[in-house]
Amino acid sequence: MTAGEFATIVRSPLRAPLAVQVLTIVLLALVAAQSVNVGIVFLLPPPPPEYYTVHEIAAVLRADGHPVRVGNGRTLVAHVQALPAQNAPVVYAPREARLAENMAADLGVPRDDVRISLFSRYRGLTHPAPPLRPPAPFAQAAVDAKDMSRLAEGGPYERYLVAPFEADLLRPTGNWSALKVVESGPLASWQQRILLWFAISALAVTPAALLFSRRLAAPIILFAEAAERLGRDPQAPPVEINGPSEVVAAGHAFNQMQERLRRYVEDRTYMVGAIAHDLRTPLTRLRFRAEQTPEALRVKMNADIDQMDAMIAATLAFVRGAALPAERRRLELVSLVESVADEMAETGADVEADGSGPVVIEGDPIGLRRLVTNLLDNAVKFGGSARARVYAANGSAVLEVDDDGPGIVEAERERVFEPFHRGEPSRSRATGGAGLGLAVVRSIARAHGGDASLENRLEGGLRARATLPL
Amino acid sequence: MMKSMSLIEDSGGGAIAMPRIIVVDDDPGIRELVSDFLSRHGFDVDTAADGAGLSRALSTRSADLVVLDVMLPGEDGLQICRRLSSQDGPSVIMLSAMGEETDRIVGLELGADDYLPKPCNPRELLARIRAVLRRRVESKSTDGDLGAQCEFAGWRLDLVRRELRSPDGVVVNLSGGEFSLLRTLVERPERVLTRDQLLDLARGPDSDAYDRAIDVQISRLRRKLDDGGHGGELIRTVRNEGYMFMAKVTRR
Repeated sequence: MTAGEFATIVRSPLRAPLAVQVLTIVLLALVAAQSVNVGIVFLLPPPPPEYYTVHEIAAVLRADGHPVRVGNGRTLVAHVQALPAQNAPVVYAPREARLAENMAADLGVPRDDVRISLFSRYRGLTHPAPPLRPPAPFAQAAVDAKDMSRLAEGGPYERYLVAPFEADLLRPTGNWSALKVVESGPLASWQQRILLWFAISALAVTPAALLFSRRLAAPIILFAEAAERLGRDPQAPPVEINGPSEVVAAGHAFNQMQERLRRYVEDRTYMVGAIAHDLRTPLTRLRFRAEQTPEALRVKMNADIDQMDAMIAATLAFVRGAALPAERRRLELVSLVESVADEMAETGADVEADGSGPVVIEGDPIGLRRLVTNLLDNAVKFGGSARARVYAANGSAVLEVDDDGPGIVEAERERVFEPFHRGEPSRSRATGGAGLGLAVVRSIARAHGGDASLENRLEGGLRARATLPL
Repeated sequence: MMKSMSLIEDSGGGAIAMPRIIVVDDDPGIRELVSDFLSRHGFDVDTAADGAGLSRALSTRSADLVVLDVMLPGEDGLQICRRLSSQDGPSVIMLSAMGEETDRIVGLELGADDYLPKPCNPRELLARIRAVLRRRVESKSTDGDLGAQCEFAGWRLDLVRRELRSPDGVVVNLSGGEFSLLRTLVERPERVLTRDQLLDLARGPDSDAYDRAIDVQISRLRRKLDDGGHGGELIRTVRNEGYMFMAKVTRR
């Protein structure tokens, strides 16, 4: 997405302060979630009950192994099996005892033919003062619903069973018909409802939240991009950011910082340029004065003058490379490296270059020529020879220059890129230079959005690498 | 006036008209030293401190050549250079303390005949002055200004920027030798040139390069001028004779 597109997305309604915007979205999300909740409560049928009546369970036990559908929608089956004889009298909780009584009455069997065990945490729960009713008469074989309800009048707790529980009935055959009812799943129906509510709320709120946060983030992303651009190119145009007032304020501050930086760099450039100019004027005079001196002296004077001029040139190149807006053109890197290498080879240096296929980048022809020249010069100066290679990899053009020199100690690997730092402590003029060669290389590479680094080759010697984005 | 001018060689006899040179620099030391040096080598030298001084010097008597500093108070060297070249006035050699490639290009594009960075070697300055004066006489007698841009088979060679651009606009770099060779070929299209001729024309008569160097550079040029084949063969080898540049060249 281009900056322009960002700007159009960001423009319209989102200029309010971040705090207001965030408050708004939180309130909207709250309203949405509660609306879903209300919708679920009023629109969905109530969940089926999670309990069983004594009458229902009695019916299941009586069905003797056939499935029976009960009132809450579940189908229960009692299994016929031989239960171990219980010698010890079964100790019932009061509620179990009363349920068993009701069940026996419902089934019309003796009280001892029915066993009920409650496993739930409600086991001990009983009606506070249940009147103990006399057992129902044995003659009553069938019990109708009316009798049933009358029978269960003992209290609401004695008419209902809540899973998990087990109910057993002794059959006339001597076997037991056993029914074990467990909970209907890991979650009770009310828990399921809450989960449903949560899921629907999340689904309803997520797209809106996503959209909103994107729009909120857009100016910040734009801002980050602008900072990134400034890092690469100090001359980048000021950013125009629309969006929350805090981000707009940050954008203004950023632009001011960039402007101050630019002015600072310009001042420095202007100052160094002026110094160079002022130094070159007396040097020019010296040159002409040297013309009138004897040959031997003149040669030495000229060498001194050349050396001073080389330092001025290097300083100017470094300052300019860092500061001045460079002209960007599409250029072919292999031919550039080859022509610099050829020119150096013509003056007797051991320089080779190879690269396959055109590697076309956007760049400043003069700056890049300087970069290549400095890398090759360095290799020849410190390593005796230079072998350059150009290729494209991972979206970058890579220039590698190998030499056969002693390589570099780890501590120096980054420091040699610092301006006026020299890898060689002697600072001897023959190899020392102004200490700007690699600094210029890196500043040019970085001005193009790339970088430069050094590494020791396994076979010995140093490899300098510059990467430039394609 | 210019037609009466003739060239003098090193020792310079006073009998022949001496070329008149005006040295423009804001530094009095440089003005004095350069003018002394050039006078000793047989030139009629005048000095000026700025653009106004130059105008005064030119109004009294015309000059053949101006040695012009770029950084001057008031009207700067580049402005003066543009003014002089638009008036078909004297030749201009720019001297600049900035000595940058971009300054050189700007100076040459504004019509300077040559460009030297400060601190220049006096002998170098002398050689450049002589070369510019020689060209000045030659170009008066021939067809005058040639454009700095040559186009052939979609390629474009900029003689001031020393830059070659492929048909799809990509800058292809040439070494100094390759540029001179290509320039020589492009300036004489569709003519067979022997290796000796190419050496003379591209490297100058006293070059110590040898024939084989031309072959190497021709093969490099061919590789760089190979844009995937649709341009066809631009430099043809003529057996036992030399090379011929095959494309039509237009200049602008």
